[in-house]
Amino acid sequence: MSQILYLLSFLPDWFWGLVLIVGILASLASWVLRVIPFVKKYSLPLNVAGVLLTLSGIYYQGVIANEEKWMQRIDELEEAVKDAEAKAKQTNTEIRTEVVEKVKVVKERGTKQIEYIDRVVKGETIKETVMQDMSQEQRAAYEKQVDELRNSLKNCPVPKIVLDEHNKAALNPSPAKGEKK
Amino acid sequence: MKKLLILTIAITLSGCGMLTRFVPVPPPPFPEPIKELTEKCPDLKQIEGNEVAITELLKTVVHNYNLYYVCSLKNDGWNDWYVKQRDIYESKLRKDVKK
Repeated sequence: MSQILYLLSFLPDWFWGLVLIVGILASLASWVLRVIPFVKKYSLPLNVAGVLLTLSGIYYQGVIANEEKWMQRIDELEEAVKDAEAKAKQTNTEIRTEVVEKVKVVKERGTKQIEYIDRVVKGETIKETVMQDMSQEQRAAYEKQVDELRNSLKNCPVPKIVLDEHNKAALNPSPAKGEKK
Repeated sequence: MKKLLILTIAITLSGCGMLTRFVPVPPPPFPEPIKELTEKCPDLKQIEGNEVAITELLKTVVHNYNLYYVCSLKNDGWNDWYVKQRDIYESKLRKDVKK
């Protein structure tokens, strides 16, 4: 049954409109023929054919209307899928730009901080840069801190146990698959 | 005549239920993840050597803090990505399917 309906669905829409019109006309004709004596005998078969054609025509009008409704729905959803794809791509670009920018700032800050530590240790350009905008008191306090650091660097290497504990803490406790613990 | 009318309406209505019963639209492809967010977080830096100055320790700690912040940004990025992509899906597609 469904195969027959499938094959019938290939017929153009106007065909079923024509079937409906022919069916209605045939039914009407059967009513007219009923009053003419010579052709009265054809009235019943014509009426039956007319009713069948009318029913088929109406049935397929329903099918066509339903099909149109669903095709419209498909178009709407296809449009929504396209929109979603475009929006997803745009969102990806936005998030990527934001993350890359922030990562860049964090990395630059880290590099600057490490460079600053190096500069303090070497004593290079501190007076021109770090101490430039300091008051007399702040300068004295800062110089005291730097002296303290230099003194510590000369006389106090970090104990091995501290390094070992640091390294232990820095070790990944849950290595990735395939890596040895 | 009345029976014929009822039969006509019944057949017409049955025609409405014919043919397409589902919407044959493939779902949108899963959005591609952002490459930068898929990178694995690097291991923290360790201190090498026995006699190490306190500033070397400090530099390593600063370096590791930065690794953490970079990783944290990527994690935030993933969360942001998930929430935004889910919102797009729900607002654009699920709402339409529910109609």
